[in-house]
Amino acid sequence: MREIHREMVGLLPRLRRFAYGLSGSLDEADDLVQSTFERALSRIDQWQAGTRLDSWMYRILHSIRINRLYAENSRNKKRDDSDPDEQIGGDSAREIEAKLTLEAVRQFIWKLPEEQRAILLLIVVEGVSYKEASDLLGIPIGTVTSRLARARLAIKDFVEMKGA
Amino acid sequence: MNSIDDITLVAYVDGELDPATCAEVETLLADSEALRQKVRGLRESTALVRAAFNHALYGTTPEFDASRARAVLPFRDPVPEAGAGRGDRAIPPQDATGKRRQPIWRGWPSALPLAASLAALVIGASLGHYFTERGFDRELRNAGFILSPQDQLAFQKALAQGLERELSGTRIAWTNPDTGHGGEIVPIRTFQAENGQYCREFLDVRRITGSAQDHGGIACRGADGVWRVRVRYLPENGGV
Repeated sequence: MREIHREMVGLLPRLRRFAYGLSGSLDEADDLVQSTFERALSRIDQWQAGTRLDSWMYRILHSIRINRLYAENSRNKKRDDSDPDEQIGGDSAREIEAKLTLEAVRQFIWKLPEEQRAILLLIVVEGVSYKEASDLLGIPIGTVTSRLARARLAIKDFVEMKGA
Repeated sequence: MNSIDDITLVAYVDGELDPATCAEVETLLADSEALRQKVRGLRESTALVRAAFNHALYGTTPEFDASRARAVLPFRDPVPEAGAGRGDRAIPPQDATGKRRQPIWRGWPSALPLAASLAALVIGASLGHYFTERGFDRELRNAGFILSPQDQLAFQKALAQGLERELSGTRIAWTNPDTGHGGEIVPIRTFQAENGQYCREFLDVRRITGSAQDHGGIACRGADGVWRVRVRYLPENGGV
């Protein structure tokens, strides 16, 4: 068995968790992970030995996710008007059930703008560094830190409101 | 520094600050209960976020249980197989109510080290479908990985019968007379998944393009009695 394949298989749980966090559905997550493996396998020659395989696969997964969102939006002729840097809170926070549960935390995160959510999941859940997240998503580190801070503060406020 | 912006504070919680800035933040924290509370709030909510998605690590959806088969399923003891007498079944059959009858076990052949020669690539049962949709089908067809619909029918029939009835080590041949394509399926190991389903690892040798292609896989029998391939192993040389 090629070592690289073994490593890829080992990443599956984390990729699935990331996909679930992004998409909000386990089915969608499985589908994303499957596509990620397919694409990674077909482009395995593009992966450079010595670089991080996990970052590479997170990036593939994220770009598949973005492409699908884009395709969906254009198919539905529905524009996503949400500002990637917008604050969430207020109504969105109140809509979510009163009890503070992990489910409530998930629901809150799924209401965040996609761009904030991807950064939040990579850094907080997957433990990717700021620099890696910036490379992986192809956005400046300043954007990473400001979006991350917005998401984190919003979640903190949400948790405190629910927990109070 | 006499105040801290949110970005810096979050970076502090994440351990992303350089030592000098970190020291500055800690000095300010020492002086301000409000700031300490904010950091606590951030840490607590971060811990919740960290925990919130973990159940996705270990799939609960049936398809994915098996995708993790290599990591999880084989941890249960292999299921001993019935003796080699004709008419004996490799695994306990389901009765009309779908409940498994207990078979009388009479020893079982040892498993072959499939994994040693095949790269485990966890890809779900609908692989062919996805690949076809995504335009990779030509390469995969060439690799013998995707079967044409007619070949697929012949293959599935042999797979279902073979996995349901045959002992490990038995070769089950299939062929599609229209195309001349065919191959062999060899169950090599039987085990019970965590959810109680019976699963069998099998070798899948196909003769599609002149040369034989070795694949492997794991199929599990669902509550409906249907065998579904859950995991596919690609050949060592990549295939794709």
